[in-house]
Amino acid sequence: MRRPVRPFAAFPLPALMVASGLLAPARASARAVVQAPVQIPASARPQTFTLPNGLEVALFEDHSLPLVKGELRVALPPPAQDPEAWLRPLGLGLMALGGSGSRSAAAFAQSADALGLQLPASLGPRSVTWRFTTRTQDQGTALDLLADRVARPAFDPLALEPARLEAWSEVGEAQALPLARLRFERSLAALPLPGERQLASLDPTALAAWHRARFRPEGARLALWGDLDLAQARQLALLAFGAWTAGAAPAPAASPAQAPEPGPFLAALPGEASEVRIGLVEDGTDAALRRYLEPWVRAQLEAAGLRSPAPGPGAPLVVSADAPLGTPAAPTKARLEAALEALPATFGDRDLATLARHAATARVLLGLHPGDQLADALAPAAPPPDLETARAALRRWLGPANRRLFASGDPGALAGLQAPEPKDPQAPRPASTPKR
Amino acid sequence: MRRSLPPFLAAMVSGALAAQALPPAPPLPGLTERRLANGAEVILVRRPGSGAFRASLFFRQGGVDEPPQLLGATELLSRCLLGPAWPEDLQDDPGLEPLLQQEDALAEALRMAGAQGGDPQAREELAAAHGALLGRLEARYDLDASKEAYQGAGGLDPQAVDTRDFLAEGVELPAGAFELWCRTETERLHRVVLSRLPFARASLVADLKSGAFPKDPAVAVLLGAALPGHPYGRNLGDYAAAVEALRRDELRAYARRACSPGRMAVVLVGDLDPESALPILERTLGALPPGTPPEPPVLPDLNLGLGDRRVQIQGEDSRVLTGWRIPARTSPDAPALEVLARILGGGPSARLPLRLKGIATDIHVSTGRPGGRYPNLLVVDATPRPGHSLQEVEEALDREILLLRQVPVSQEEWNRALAQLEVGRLDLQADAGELAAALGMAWAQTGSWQGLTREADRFRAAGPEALQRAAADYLVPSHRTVVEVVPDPSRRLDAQDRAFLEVLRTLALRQVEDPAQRESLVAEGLRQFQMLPQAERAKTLDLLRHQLQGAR
Repeated sequence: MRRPVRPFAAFPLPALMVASGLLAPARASARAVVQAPVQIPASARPQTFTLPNGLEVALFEDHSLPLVKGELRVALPPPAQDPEAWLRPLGLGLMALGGSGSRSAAAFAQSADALGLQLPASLGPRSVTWRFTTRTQDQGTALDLLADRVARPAFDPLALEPARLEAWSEVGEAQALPLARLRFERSLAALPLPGERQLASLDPTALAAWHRARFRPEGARLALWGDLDLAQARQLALLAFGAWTAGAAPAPAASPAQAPEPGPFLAALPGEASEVRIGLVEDGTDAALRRYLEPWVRAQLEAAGLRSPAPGPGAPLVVSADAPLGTPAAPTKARLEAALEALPATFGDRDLATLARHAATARVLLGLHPGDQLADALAPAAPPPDLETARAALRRWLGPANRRLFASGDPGALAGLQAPEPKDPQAPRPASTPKR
Repeated sequence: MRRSLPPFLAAMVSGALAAQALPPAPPLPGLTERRLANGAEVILVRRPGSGAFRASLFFRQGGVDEPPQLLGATELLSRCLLGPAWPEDLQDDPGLEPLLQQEDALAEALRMAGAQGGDPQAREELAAAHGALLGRLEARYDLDASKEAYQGAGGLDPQAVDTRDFLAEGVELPAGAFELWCRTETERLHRVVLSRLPFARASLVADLKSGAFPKDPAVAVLLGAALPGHPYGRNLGDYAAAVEALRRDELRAYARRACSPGRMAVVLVGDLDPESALPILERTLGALPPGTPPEPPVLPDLNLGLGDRRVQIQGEDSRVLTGWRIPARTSPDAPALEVLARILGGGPSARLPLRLKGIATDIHVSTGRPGGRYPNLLVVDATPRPGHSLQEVEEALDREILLLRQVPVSQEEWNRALAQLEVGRLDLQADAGELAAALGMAWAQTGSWQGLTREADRFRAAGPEALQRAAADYLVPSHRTVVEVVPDPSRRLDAQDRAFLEVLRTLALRQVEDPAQRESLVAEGLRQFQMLPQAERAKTLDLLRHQLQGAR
């Protein structure tokens, strides 16, 4: 009966929307939940400008504390158009471990730690995002360090070897459960796993070329919040990122992008009850629309008695259920599929109106969390222009082609979940197949 | 559910001040403090222009304060008194109370029948009647989440949290919903209906029995072994039967005392004007009867230097946790220990990540485990890299700790730790949710919200010499407990293993007081059990079950 609770922390906008009443069944009456007109605070609207190299900057000015927070998002090509998409997790990890600009890895870490600065990065389907928080007095140095890491990384050969070994061991030696989980996660992110030959041929020069071709200022966005005004923001952004020039456009791919595995991803755990998950591939398609619709989708799935935890920003949505020990997992899979299949047709005008109302109130709550304001500025949710657009987006998102299956449990229970044998295109058609 | 707090907040916990010995705390901009007529404290931080507010209630009554006959009560209250505000808990429903009483009586009869091992058919009938009653209860509840008071008002997911030190809840709402929040909280604290108790109790007992709670068994073992006899060391997983035996009347009576205004702080951060907010608070939460707070718990004096202890357990991955017993948050030594934790593990250039990076990964250093009101632990958690042993990691850690005791930390390291603490302090002030949580925690753990704002000065006062002294006093073998997690994937637990563990743990709990010894005994028992042929395993399990019933 109890809904999951989370610790006292910031929440992304979609989570706010789920929280604010979308757990109602689809056909629940849409009643007015907001008693007074919702006022969007002035501080929620950023000031914006663009550097000559194409980097867009948004500033939320707030001088209440000697503090500056920021997020930098660099756009990446869709994984399906990138033959080196497999390298993204590994390459990003190596950027974090290496030096940058003229600094060695140790010197970079020392400079950042001296400011109390952390630069965590997260990989999305078509972007990488770095976040930082620094004192006002250190904002210039902090932005320099961020720019060094993003635009001028130095790949450390000493860090490459352990990372290569770790990637090898992940792919080759992992036990059934961790490997199945890894393959499932990568498939949902539309990223293929690296092959042995790809890993073996990796060197700092290849990594530098990979970085140069993909991490470009045009299409990148920087959002800042805190104790600086527009003139300071302009000057700091120019000093830190002005020299980041767009390299030559990436050469046309010599080889086609490798397709991620379609699954199913099964892990045999003798004697254990089954857990069945269906994940929805997140490759950046309809991203803004999906952010807007996600609370509704999760609410419907939870109302159907399925688990669907809030994914992080840009992370894939996963729905799951358990099958009791001794029972086959196939009916649970069918239940999950049926729930997903039914949703696009049930989405109606009332749902659209409810979503709009809740998006407005959730936006007000953003004012309590500067971190969420920044995330929302870089990756806003966009309402669908009409009902049919929403339904079409839901069909693309929840449809069979976008689903991936993961299941763990007793081998006997998983027996019905194997992928069908690939059909031989030369084989004669079954008699029942209609002729065109 | 014990939930982890934001990392910086957890760090701040151990750095507060002993209020009486210090100059006035630096003010927090926009903060107003007031005590209501019934003793409840109000801490309001005004953030004009945000259009919304974060409202929290903190009760200085955590797991550590539970009397032995009410173990698990705090966890249950976080699941069914606080958090989402359902209509059944806020309004008169004459049909509901008899149903809840009936359910409670049936649940108790079912529990007793299970414990006494009586006629199986009678038990089945009881279970069926109980199931039917739960169905009737569920049918009465309005599952439309928009009927939840806060979600209907455009609020953010109402949350409840229970820790060893305090019980708390929080929600975020548009500024116009302040009076609604005050009325709702007053109503549910006045009524204490606990309409969702049957489901909350069943779900908690299931979590405890399945091992899903607590979430990190290695930490639970570390706490038990390092803080024996103290409620901080207690693992609720050992007390599923006690939780099952908790009755609604007992819990309601406990809730009225535990959540009485004298133990409550109202923490508000956001777009609220104290001049208009305080009168509303006086009329609502301030009008709750003062009540009688529970007797303070009788706690054993923890001897921080009770000896070096070592426990080995099985888990999914290889890992070593080392905990040193350190004094409470209000101790004058607490800030130095917090800075030491930063020097050891704050950022990639801190000592442990830098010097152990070849042999270990996922290195985390934390203080305030599991709380800050009483002596607690400074914990170093590390995972050996493939090809490196637990022993290598432990030896490397020993060398680093020895160095801390023998050589003063450099000015550069000290400055770095202070910079990190200051950024963390400012960052939490920027976020309404984190600021409310930090103020409430400081109030619950040190007696005043000022415990938070004085921290910056306290950290600065703990110079390099104080750090060396603190390391020499506390980071010593006599204060240490080590838990080694040894992976054994061939021994994944099946249903029979889990049943065996549950029975053996319950038996061991009655006979072995020391948690470290108990865990060793249980681990060895499981090892032997898993070596038995299938038929023998079933017989052994039956024998133990009979033994358990006999003991009852």
